[in-house]
Parts: sequence; C-alpha cells; structure tokens
Amino acid sequence: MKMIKIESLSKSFGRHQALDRVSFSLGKGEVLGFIGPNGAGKSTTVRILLGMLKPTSGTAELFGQDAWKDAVEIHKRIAYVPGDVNLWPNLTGGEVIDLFLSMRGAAVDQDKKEALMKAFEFDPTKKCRAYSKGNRQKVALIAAFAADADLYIFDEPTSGLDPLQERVFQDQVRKVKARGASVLLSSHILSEVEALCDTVAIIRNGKIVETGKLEALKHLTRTQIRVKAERSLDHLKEKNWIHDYSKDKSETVFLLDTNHLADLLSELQNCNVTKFESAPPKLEDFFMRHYETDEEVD
Amino acid sequence: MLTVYALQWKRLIKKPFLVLLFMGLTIMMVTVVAGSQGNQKTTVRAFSETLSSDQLDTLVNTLNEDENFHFEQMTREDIQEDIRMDRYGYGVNLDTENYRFLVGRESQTMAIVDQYLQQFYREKNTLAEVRADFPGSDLEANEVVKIQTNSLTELSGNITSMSVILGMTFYFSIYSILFLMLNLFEEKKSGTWNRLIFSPISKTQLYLGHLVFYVTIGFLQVLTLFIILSQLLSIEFTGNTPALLAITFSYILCIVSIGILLTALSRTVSMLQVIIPIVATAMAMLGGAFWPLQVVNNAFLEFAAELMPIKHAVYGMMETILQNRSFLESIQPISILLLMSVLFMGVGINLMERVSR
Repeated sequence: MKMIKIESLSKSFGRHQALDRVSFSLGKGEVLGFIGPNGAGKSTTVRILLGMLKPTSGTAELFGQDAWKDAVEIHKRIAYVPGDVNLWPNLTGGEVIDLFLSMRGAAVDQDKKEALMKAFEFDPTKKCRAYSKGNRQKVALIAAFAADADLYIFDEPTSGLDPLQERVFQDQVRKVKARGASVLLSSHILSEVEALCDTVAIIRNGKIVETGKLEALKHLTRTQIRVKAERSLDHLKEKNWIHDYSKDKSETVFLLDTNHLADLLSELQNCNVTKFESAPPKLEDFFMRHYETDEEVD
Repeated sequence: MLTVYALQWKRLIKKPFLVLLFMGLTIMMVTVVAGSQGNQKTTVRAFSETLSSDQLDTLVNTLNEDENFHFEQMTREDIQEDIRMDRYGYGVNLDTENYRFLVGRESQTMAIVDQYLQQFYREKNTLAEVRADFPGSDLEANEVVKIQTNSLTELSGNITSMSVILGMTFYFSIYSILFLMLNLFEEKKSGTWNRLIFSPISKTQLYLGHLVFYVTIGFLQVLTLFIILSQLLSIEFTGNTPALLAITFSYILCIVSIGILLTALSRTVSMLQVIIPIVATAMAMLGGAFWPLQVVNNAFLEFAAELMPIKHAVYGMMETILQNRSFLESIQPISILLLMSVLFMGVGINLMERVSR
C-alpha cells in the first residue's frame, strides 16, 4: 500500500489555479523530495494532504484513506513540521513538546524525547516567545521525531537551523527511514534533498514537471568534465552528447550527457590525458536546467 | 478534547491577571453601588431654643427610635455656621409641640424628614391632648390596622442590592469571558489553531475543548462572586438552587456564543478589543443591569431589552428568588438563553469555518 497517493489533484482559489492535475506517490520506507520554486504549489499540496484544504478535483490519499474526510484518523499516524512553527508564547518549549505528544494519545517515550533534545542541543525550559526561529523549529522537530509516526511530512523544516543541526535532522530522517517510516520532504535546499531522498517530484506553476528515482533523474542530467590532454580534443566538439565545449587555459571544459560516459572514455583513450576531473551531476544543475528550459518555453 | 481543555487552563494559570482583575472590579463596583443604595440613615442636626438639654435629650432619643433617621444634637450657632459653609443643607429647631426647619438650601432628604417629624408631632400632640382630658390614665398610641408585609420588609433593602449584585456580576463576566476569548482569536491569527488541527483531534473536540473552558471559567467566576458578595452585603440567595444554577449556566453559555460570533465577525484583534466593551456595556444598559427596567417607558427600548441575554439572566434570577419559583416555573428564561446560545454559536462557528476554509 502506498503511504501517499495523489492522482490528478487540482485546486483552484477563485480563478487562480494553484494545482493542476498533480500526481505522485510515496511508498513505504521511502523518502520523497518535493521541490519547486516559491509559489509553485508545494505548500498547497501539503495542506491538502493534511486535510486543511479540500481539493477542487482529484484524489489525495494517505494510507489508503481520504485526506479530507479521514483527516483525524490520518493525523494519528503522521507527524508534521511546518517551515514556520507557531507556538503558544507563554508556554515553555518542554511543555509544548509534551502537549504535541500527548495530543497523539499515546504514552510519551521520555528517553527518546530527552535524547532528541540533547541531539538538537535544545533548552526546553525557556518560554516559547523567547525562542528564535531555529529553536521553534526544533520544538516541532523534536515533537515529530519523538512520536512514532508512519509518515513524516516536513515543509522546509531546516530553514532556520544551523548546518550542525541540519546534520542532526538528516541523521534523524535516516533513522526513521530505517525504521520503515516514509518521509515527504518539501524543501528548497537541494543538497539536503539529494542527501536524503530516493525519489523526487519537481513542481512548477502547479504542475509536476518531473518525478522519479533520483538516480534515474540524474541520468538525464549532464556531468561537467575538465580534461587536460597532450593532443587536441577538438574532435569532441562534433559529438551531439557533448555540450558547452570551451577552453580554459590549457584545459578543456565541457558538459557530458551522463549516459555517454563510456563513449567519452573510448574517445579519450589515445589522447594522452594528463588530468581528468569529473564533477558529479547535482540535483541543483538538473533543477536549474529544468527551470531554464521551462522559462524558455514560457 | 481534554488536552485542549487542559492546555487552556495551563495558559490561564500562567496569565491569570485578567480574570482576577475583573473579579476585583466586580467586587469593588458592587460594594460601592450597593453600599450607597443600601440602608443608610439620614442624619438630621437638631437644636432647641426652648427645651432644656434634658428635655432635648429625651426628645432626640425618642426620634432616634426609627432606624431610618439619626438626630444629632448641636447648638444653633454651630448649625448656622455649618449651613453657611454649606457642609449640609438644613437643621431642625425642635420645640415641645412644634418644629421648624433652618434651611440654607433645599435638600432631597428634607421632605422625608419633614414627613417623619409631622407624623411624630401629630401623634405626640394627640397623646398630650388626650392625657390632658383623662388625667391619670395610662395611654399609648395604637395602630388601628396593622399590616404585616414581612417578606418584603425584610427584603426591601436587599432587592436593590441583589439586583446590583446580579447586574454587575453578569456585566463583568461578559468582559472577562470575551477578553479571554481574544486568545481564541490570537490562536487563529498566530497559527497555533492550525497546529491543533494538524493533531489527531477533530474540529468538534477542538471547539468543545475551548468552549467548555470558557464556560467553566465564566461559571466559576460568577459563582465565586455570588458567594463573596452575598457574604459581604449579608444577602442570602435563597431560591431553587438548580433553577438558579441553570440560569447562570445558560447565561454564561450565551455569552460564550456571542464571543464566538464576535470573533468570527472581527478581522483583527484590535477590532475585537474595541467591539467587546461596546457590546458588553450596550447589552448591560439595554438589559437593565444598571437600572431597573421598570423605569424604561419606551416601547422600542422595552423590546430591545427582551433581546438582551443579561435581562433574562438578572430578572430570571430575581424572580426565582423573590417569588420562590420552582425549576419548571423558571424554565422560560433558561430556554430563552439556551435558544440564543444555539443561534449565536451556530452562526458564529459557521462564519468562522467559512473564513478559515
């Protein structure tokens, strides 16, 4: 059974079409990166999944249940961390964490909670109004990870965290993944998505423009190659899998369609290569490429 | 639901000043207003130019037997000086068979004092005449018809105080409940309301948790004030207790519903902060919390009073107490208040949900 199954989901606010036939799914034990520029429809999708908004058409199912009708049942099995965490100003962080956990109805695992507070270096004794954005996010993250949820939904969860805490977050995501839980990570930080996710769904202007395994997507992208050789490499310029061919001092720099790496190596065999650098395909490059091509189309 | 309820208590305990402040204000207002309207003796300064000081003593003591008046012996010069300085308006010159006022300015108590003295001297003179006709016989004035109005004579002074207690307590409870409900509004604005919606709590439970909390707070506040004030002014709320509790409960529920409606109608916290005093005071004025509705003589205002929950609460309570009504006889104000609650709550929650969707 899929943890999340969204099929041709549309949502419009008046005339504005926020989501246009969005479809993707998330399997058990998977981590899905949900990426897209601001205003693309990420948060709208998340809000529909949480039962806050009713879709105009299409279906959004979590654990095989309808996101709108069975919201209360679904909420028992999910943990959600928003990008901007709102807390009760006159309660302490510790009280809020206990409150979030007690609302789930299950007994609070104190050891786990303590361990998480320690890992995130969080001081639970201060009033929430005194917390910075990062600390407020920690409250939500600790409450989320301390709960044994089947599905974690993160909406830009690390936007206020420092790099050290970001790593703690990534460790925790790997832990819940190892436990068999699924994670939907909506994020801007592509390196984070790249480090954690098996699958990505890229949304733009309310439409899913690309979805699939990260590895497969990377295959579609290009690797940057920097070569220094004793013989001329100009014959490579003619190949249709070589792009942006240019010379930088004595070195040659170009982009290679990643699936033609073997072809390149055979071409370079007799060129007396003295230096070969290959920058692995980055999700960011892929994302930017998508972005640029889309803009050209627009 | 219990988690939401407990959360509200936790927040209140950390910030209890508002509720305590309004309770303090109620006690202060009631003691001031009810104290000034309660049984106060009228002080009258008296002197005599003809009577000896012994005779004046006896006369003043006899006059002071009435609990509504207090006659104070002074010299003519002192009284004249005080009147000149406008410390009080008048004094009385007492004689054996007559009295005269020494007046600096008209005063509203003068008529009552005049009436009392007239009656007193008439009786005194009649007795003296009769004694002169039948010397040696033991005479005393006897009332021909004696009317016993026990229950009301005992209550008469208390009715005013009681209506002040009820009116003020219900009036200030509007404030504390509605101002507490600003929290609800702030939760909606700040996003913590959504935090609660993301949790495994249904909207019904969420609303119930909040509403039950506000009703509890309001109910506790009103009960505490009734107990404190009835002790303070030594007034007993003797009546059908279930009926009195039911009226109080349905009134509080009604105010909470009005709060929900106002919260749904206002767009900002400051707007709500402005609306609350206007609504509370207007309701109390129209509903007769500040003055008895019997003095209102305008058909429109009388009709408007019927629409005010506070009217049904105060008069429902008064009638239950004074006429010793049973629960069934008090069912009218209770059902009117409950009907209003359902109406306001229904419209309020509907509006609120429409906005949040």
